[in-house]
Amino acid sequence: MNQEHDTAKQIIHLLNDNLASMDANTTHKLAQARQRAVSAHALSMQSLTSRQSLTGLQQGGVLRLLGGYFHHHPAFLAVLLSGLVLLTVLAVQQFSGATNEQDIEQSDGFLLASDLPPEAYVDQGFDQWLQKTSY
Amino acid sequence: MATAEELSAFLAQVERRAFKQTAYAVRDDHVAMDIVQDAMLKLAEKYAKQPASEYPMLFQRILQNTMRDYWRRQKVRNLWTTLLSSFGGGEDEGDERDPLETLQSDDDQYQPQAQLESRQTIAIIEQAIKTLPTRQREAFMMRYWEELDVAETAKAMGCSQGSVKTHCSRAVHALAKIMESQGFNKQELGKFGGER
Amino acid sequence: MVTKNLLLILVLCSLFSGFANGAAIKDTHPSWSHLTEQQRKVLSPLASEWDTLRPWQREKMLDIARDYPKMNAEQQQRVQRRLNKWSRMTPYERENARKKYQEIKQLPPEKKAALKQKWQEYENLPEEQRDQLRQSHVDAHPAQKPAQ
Repeated sequence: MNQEHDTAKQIIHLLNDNLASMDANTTHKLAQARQRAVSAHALSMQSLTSRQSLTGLQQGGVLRLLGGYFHHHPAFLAVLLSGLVLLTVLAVQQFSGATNEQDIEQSDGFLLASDLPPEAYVDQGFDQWLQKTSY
Repeated sequence: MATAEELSAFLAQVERRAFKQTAYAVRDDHVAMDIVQDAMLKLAEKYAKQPASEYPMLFQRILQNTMRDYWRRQKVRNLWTTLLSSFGGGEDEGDERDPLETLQSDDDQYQPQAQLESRQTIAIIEQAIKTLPTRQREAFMMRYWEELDVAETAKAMGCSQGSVKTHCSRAVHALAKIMESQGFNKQELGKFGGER
Repeated sequence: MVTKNLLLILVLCSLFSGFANGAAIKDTHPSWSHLTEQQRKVLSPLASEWDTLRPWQREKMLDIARDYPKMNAEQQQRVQRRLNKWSRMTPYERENARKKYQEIKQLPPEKKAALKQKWQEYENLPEEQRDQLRQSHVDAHPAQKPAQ
């Protein structure tokens, strides 16, 4: 099973490599097709949003009910809010604690923050340019 | 419900692979482009309500269905498409030339050996993929290139998860065999870095 | 009356504690709605595509968000500008970028500055010329990766 996975990964690696040299004509056509699809999506969404405004009203009704309750019983609101604050603090503590082990390893963030944009690191034309202009 | 931005971002990510996958299946770049364009529109128009997390699986399914529609139309008109049938791979290879033979005949005395080799590698792999039986190729592409999990692949292919695993292992086995027979041993394929 | 109100408090508190517990469980690939506000702020360029990212992609992005506070303003701006491009690269391209980045990190400052200059030159070349250079690289470096 592991063997199968390794072999497959090797093949995919080469396929991805080949993607990088796809001709501009094809990539351009694909981009155009994508834009057309997005426009079509916008049109179909228009008919959906008109239906959505109805359910929005219903949700607003529930909130108003809750709001009314707290207005008349402010003590409960205070208890609830303080409980929520306490729980949030606990949750955040647990969350940040869990990632401590990973601090040692650097993320891709520093790559992205570097002098060169990420595409520079993989642009083979740039490699050639460097060789040609003797770096 | 997916937004226009989500749709655009998703398509930007998958479009090149989708084109290649389709081209392997239909063996014609123009047809492949038509199918991919068609599939993008279908996703946008018919699945606007779906959350973006469903898009990988949905798009694959649409792609497969659009390809099948194309084949069905073609079969009526064109005898030659028997080569593209699901049971393909080895049958009636009369019109197919050995890829190595094809490449070597391309005035290779004018091409440096190195140039020839790099084109050979990818040509051999692509040819091997094209000769896979349809279901094996589909499962392989979806699991390993699109990185759908087994459940998503099963949904996209409309088969059981067990079938997906079977198709995958047969595909990899067949591809490995073809690669070896063309002179690629384990060292040639080498150890590639990967994110997973 | 008192018991009814007490019951309400208990129900609401248990709901909120359930929520907190859910957040506390280590979730390495949360959906956009489950990210903290800080994470969402850092990763905002990816908001529209976040839910389509595969689990390990999300993990890597969250690592970036984790390191973000350690950076200065210029670095942070760069990260935000470049996040989209990064997420749309293939895993193969990102892996190559990491390897290249490690190599370049070792260079002395004057070489790094020269590299930055070269990139700006390259960017100013017409697209046709850049395509030609890319193709000539493919031709000059066949099946190089398998050997490595």
